[in-house]
Amino acid sequence: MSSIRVVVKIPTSIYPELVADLSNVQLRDRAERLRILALLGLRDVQRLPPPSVRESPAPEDMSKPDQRATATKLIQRLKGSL
Amino acid sequence: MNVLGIDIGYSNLKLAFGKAGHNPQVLLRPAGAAPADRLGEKISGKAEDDFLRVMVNGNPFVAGLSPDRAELWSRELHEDYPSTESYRALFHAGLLLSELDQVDVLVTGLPVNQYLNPDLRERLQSQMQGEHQVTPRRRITVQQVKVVPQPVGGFVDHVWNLTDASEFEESRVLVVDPGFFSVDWVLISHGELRRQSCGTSLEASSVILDEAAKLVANDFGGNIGRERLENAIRQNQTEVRLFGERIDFASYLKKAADKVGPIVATRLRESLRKENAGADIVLLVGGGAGFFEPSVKEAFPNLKVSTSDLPVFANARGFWRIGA
Repeated sequence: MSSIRVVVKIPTSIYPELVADLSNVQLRDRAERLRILALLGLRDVQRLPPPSVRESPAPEDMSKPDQRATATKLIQRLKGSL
Repeated sequence: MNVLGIDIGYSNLKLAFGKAGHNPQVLLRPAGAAPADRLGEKISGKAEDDFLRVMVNGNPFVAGLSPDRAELWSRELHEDYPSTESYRALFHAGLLLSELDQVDVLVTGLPVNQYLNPDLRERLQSQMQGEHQVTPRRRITVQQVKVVPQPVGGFVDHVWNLTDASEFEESRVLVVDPGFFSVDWVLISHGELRRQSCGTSLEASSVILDEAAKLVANDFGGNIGRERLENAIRQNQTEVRLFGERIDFASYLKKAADKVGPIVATRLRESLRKENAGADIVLLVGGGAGFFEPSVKEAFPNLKVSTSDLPVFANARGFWRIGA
């Protein structure tokens, strides 16, 4: 399995909460703690829906019928020319 | 209706799958494939494999791994790629990953020069249609197969996501699809494919990576190889290690793209000369779009050059849309 190596400095002045959190963890466990915190942050950034929703993809947004109508017409014409 | 858009590239396997009327799910895997016995012991002995095990003509294959991981198995980098066992292994991996027992419509693409040959088109169609024994205990049926020119997928995906597609409806759009092995382009005029202005160049991403590796070798004394650069880019890395030194390869890629890109741009301009009028819009799709964007912009300074959102998935999403 491939991996990347990241060496991170966390200045107390900028991330006091993060430094406080990591200070409560033993030295050898800090990287794992940081990975978990990063994953939690990433989930928030990506606004991932819960897995059950992802397993059933949402119906398409058809709220803009005019927009879709032009695109659909264009795609149909292209399919006809292939 | 279950629809699968599958783009089996030389570098990545891209999938868009799901039921018509819903948004498709997309997946990307590296496009390495080889007989299972060609894997190194260290890799195959791991507790958890990150690739798929499939059957091809009754023989066990691995698929969806980095192209440089199989020992004693040459990477297939030639025009007859769709007829190879590696391609079939990736096709079976794609069927497996789609999690569908039956695919009602499957849409895939061929490089433009191959699409224009009806024999090659029909061969791929009959190869993909029917029942497939993808693993010893799993069979998947594909009812209907459509083969389209590769860049058409990117065009369809882009148009579908536009707020207003009327500009594309009334324009002549040059769709350029820089892939790993070939750069393909089509001209779509008012929604119709113009066959005489379509083409393929082999001055593609693999040539840029070869050139970048050569430039690195000139400066640092060793060949890092195309596959290492390819893997690093796939993993969003910016450095590779050579003889204990970290090398930032971005400037080498740029130099290589500056050398290869204009060759493709010249072919594009020549291709459009067959038309009475030039293009109005240039659309860049495909995983190598970033390499060629500067040269394409330079070649068509007066045209709007658009790029798809996540261009590596553009063709697969468009294939799915064509089938849905």
